[in-house]
Amino acid sequence: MQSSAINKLVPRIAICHQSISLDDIINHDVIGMYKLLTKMGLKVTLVGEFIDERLKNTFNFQNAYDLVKTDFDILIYHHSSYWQLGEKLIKKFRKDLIIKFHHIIQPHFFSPYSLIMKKKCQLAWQMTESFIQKSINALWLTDSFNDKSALKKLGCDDDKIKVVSPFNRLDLKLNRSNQNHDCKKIIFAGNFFPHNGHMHLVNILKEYIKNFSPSLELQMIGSTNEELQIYFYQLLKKIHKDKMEKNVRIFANIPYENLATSFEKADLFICMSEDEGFQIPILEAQARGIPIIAGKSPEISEMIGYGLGNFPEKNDDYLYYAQMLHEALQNQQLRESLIHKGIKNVTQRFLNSTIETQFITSIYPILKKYI
Amino acid sequence: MENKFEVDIEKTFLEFQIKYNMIVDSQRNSDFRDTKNIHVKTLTHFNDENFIFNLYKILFKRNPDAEGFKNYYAQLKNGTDKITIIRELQSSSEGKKNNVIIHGLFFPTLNSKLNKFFIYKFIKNFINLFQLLWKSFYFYKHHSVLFTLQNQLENAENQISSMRFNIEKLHEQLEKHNTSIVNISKEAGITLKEEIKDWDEFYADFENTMRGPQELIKKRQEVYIPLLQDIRIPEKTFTILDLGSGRGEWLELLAKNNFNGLGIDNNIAAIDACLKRNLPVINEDVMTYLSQQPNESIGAITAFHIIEHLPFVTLLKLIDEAYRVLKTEGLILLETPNPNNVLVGSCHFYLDPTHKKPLPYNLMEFILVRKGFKNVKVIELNSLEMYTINVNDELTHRFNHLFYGPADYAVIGYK
Repeated sequence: MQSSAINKLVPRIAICHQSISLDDIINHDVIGMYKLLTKMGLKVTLVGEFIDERLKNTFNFQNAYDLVKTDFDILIYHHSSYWQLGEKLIKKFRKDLIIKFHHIIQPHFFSPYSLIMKKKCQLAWQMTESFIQKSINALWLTDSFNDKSALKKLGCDDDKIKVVSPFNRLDLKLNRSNQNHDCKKIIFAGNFFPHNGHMHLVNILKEYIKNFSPSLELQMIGSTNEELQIYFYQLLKKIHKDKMEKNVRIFANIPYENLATSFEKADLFICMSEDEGFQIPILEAQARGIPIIAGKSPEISEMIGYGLGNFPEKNDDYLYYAQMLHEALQNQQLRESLIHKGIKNVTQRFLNSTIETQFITSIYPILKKYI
Repeated sequence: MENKFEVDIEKTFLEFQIKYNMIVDSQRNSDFRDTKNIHVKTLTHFNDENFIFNLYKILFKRNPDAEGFKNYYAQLKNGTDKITIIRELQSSSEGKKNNVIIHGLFFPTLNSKLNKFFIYKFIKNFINLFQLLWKSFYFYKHHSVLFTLQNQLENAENQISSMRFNIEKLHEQLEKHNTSIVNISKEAGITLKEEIKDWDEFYADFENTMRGPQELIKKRQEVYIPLLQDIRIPEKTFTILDLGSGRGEWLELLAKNNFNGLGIDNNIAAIDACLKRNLPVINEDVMTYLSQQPNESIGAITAFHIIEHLPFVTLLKLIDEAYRVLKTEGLILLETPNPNNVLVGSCHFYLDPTHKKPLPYNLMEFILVRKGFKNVKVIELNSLEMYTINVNDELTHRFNHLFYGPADYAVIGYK
């Protein structure tokens, strides 16, 4: 009798995302939440449509199609894309709903390259709007304050949105070797998607080589997508046309585990993304003591935080950007300052211990009803 | 870093070029492989990679090899004209073997050859200059039309501004008229109120006669007191709003149990009666009062025998407003006649001429859940036990339940 009485007090929590695997940032967040809530003694189940076989022995799982049969008390829904089944789940779910909103790219970036990608993003935004209108009691969690503003613009009440950075696998590794080599190496890591500003990077590199030094290598690391091959082709065409083949190296589809090694011996992380949510490579770079300079995108500025060395806005003035890059590579005092602030940014805002507190504080009003 | 992930830029670029040229080719010229006669303009229509690719397809009946493609692409980029490349490929052994006839090649070839002579170039440039001048004149002519259109646009904009000004003026006048109408209504309201007073007294008398003695009603309502005591709102004191407080039995009960009750009613006679007993009441329309309350400001909302008086749309609006003004964990309690009792559903309900429609509890339960309330429950009460037939069999039992079972029910829910 006693145990059943206790069981009644423990809320049953479902954490839901379309695909559940080990390999992406959203799933790191999903797994992080799962581990924390389980550690607190709560009953947690991962619910997804596509589930990675490797995870099935370690975690409680349920197929998303079965949710209609099961009575959970709290549903944490990770919303990052258009997912029809997810929409049905939310419609059917009548108890406490928490929606974790992960940044969705603005559709117009895909217009010249892929109508499918554009449509997917449009549908995802429409779905967000519909969730806001229909699930009026839901608690929203966002990765950033910029995402919070985006939700508010769509009509979500300010007091229903809490900012909680996603759980991640950041690891502070500061023992960097001396960087005094002849050819400087700058890196950018981010998917080969049009909003990530690869063309700007090539233009900056071109101006740098023309005006400062030919000894500079730009490494671009990221995943390619079948739907966006034309973008990737245009990037290659630009590198070819600008005769930059010797100064640009491209690494495609590196597994997350290998990403860290690609940062070795990098002198600088440069980012010209125009629309981005939670860009983990930026934090990986900061955690490894790599200085960062970035274009003036509000999302990126928010992420880089204290460690920001951002270009004042000068649209397409690549010579100016190249001058800034030169300064960031040569000025040792500036570099030390960026490195120091970058580490401070990661340790104060993005370590899992900090995120755990943010997360539990945000969902506590819901949890307390059951505990 | 592991080299297996590195992309060979030059190789991949070439692969892409061939791939995407194939797409262009298959979209535009799927029958090129069988072409034996073609006009030179069809060939020169293509540019860059597409030009080289289609030339191979037409003249050699095959895709370009990487080396050939690179060579001719480089020539093209270095300024060699398209005609020269066409002639070179056509006169090659593979070109001769396939023997594709290109029409209209004479003049472009002549032009290409004559280009080597300075005088020809001079005359051509002169003609181009003349064409440029003619185009400039043509542009100027059209520019004057544009200028006129711009003027017209500016005039139109001015007219729109003046119309906007007029609209604003009209708007001001309308507001003035509205104010007058409100004043007139206020004056007229005195007369209407006097008329309504009769109706209010009639309804108060009707309620006194039909609803039953106040003490009995209070006793029945006592069942709800524990629900209020269990409300899990952090604040120690909170307001309980009684919509349509009527004769004030519930307000008296609340005061007796140290709850902070407030009655809302638009029946003047009922309000007078409550005020004489020092009960806290406000003379206001229920919907108007609710709409003026801030979000999450009320601990509980009760309504006894009110909802059956409302049109369905108003009922939904009332529940929406109630949800808005209730604090988290706040309670809503709505009591109404129970149409599951056959006598109530078919007869007693219609005793009150202001009742709209009976509301089965399944419907009310559904509405509260649909509107977001949690832990929604139905409590059936006020059975007409004194009339039940005292025979212990299934049929009598069912009859007793249907005819003398709970005459009222309350649906409750929590925010």
